[in-house]
Amino acid sequence: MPFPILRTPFVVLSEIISFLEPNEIVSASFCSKDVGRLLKRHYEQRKPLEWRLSMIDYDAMGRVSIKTSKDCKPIIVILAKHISQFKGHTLEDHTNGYEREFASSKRPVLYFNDQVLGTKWIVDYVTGLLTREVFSKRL
Amino acid sequence: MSSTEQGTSSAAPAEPTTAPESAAAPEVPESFYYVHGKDKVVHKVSAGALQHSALIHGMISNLGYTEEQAKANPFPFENIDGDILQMVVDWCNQHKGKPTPPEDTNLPKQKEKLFDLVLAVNYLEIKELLTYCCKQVAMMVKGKSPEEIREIWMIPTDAEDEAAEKEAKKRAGKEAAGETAAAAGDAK
Repeated sequence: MPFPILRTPFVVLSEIISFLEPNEIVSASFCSKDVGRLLKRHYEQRKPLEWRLSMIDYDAMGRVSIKTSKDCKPIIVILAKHISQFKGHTLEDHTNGYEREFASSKRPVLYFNDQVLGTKWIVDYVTGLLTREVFSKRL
Repeated sequence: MSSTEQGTSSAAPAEPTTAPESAAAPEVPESFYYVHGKDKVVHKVSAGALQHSALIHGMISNLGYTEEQAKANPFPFENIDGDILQMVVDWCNQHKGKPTPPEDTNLPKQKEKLFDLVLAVNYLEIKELLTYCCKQVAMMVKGKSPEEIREIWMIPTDAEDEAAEKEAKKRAGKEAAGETAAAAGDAK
């Protein structure tokens, strides 16, 4: 049953957002530009100080993961891969755009012409969305 | 006020229908208040159950209502549907004087009512119930793709947002032009 979240009062919306896991926040941010801006505003006001963002780039794949507390397991929120790994899809040359997939991994996977630049893109995206800096990098 | 009093009659003070009396009866008799929603059906609720609602609790404290006055003047909540108010009253009764558990199994099951329930609970300032409802709304999108989230939460696409914005601008322009024309007509 649909729930028109954007018609709820600000207090309610903030409360709902506060219950979302980091991977759900990143997924929701891709719904529309408006929702992306709304989430960004939410995290500008309520910085999740205990969250630790990590960037991992190995095995021809970039990923951003988040630990929401000291003892919890990191949650991978987004992945960047080369477009060649996305069967049946291509991108124009010299574009910094991406193709998006939401696979069984339950998180968005973005495919770029340049996987390294793609990794930078996803890191910038998540840090911008959550107003948090990268805490650790693993290459 | 023409209303049907639910679970009680105007002649005899009756037990509240929705709240079982606690086993250990309090020494001081509990006071009851009355609320009604859009459907004008009056619900009798104990002061203990109403403690959950910061809004009603504040109204009671500020107005200094006696039980008789409260009975004669039920708190009107015209913006809340009767069935939604019933759900809220039931929840307040079930959680009367109890610490609220971290997971609530007594939440209303009807998902189609969740939106109205959230608005009512927010209006009545029932913090714990609002938290449970919001948790339930957040759970709806667990493991869902952006496209599925958009559908569940009724989020318009960027194209739809742009079209709506254009439409609003067009309408505002037309209205402004109409007002200018009317003003010019008046001046003549």
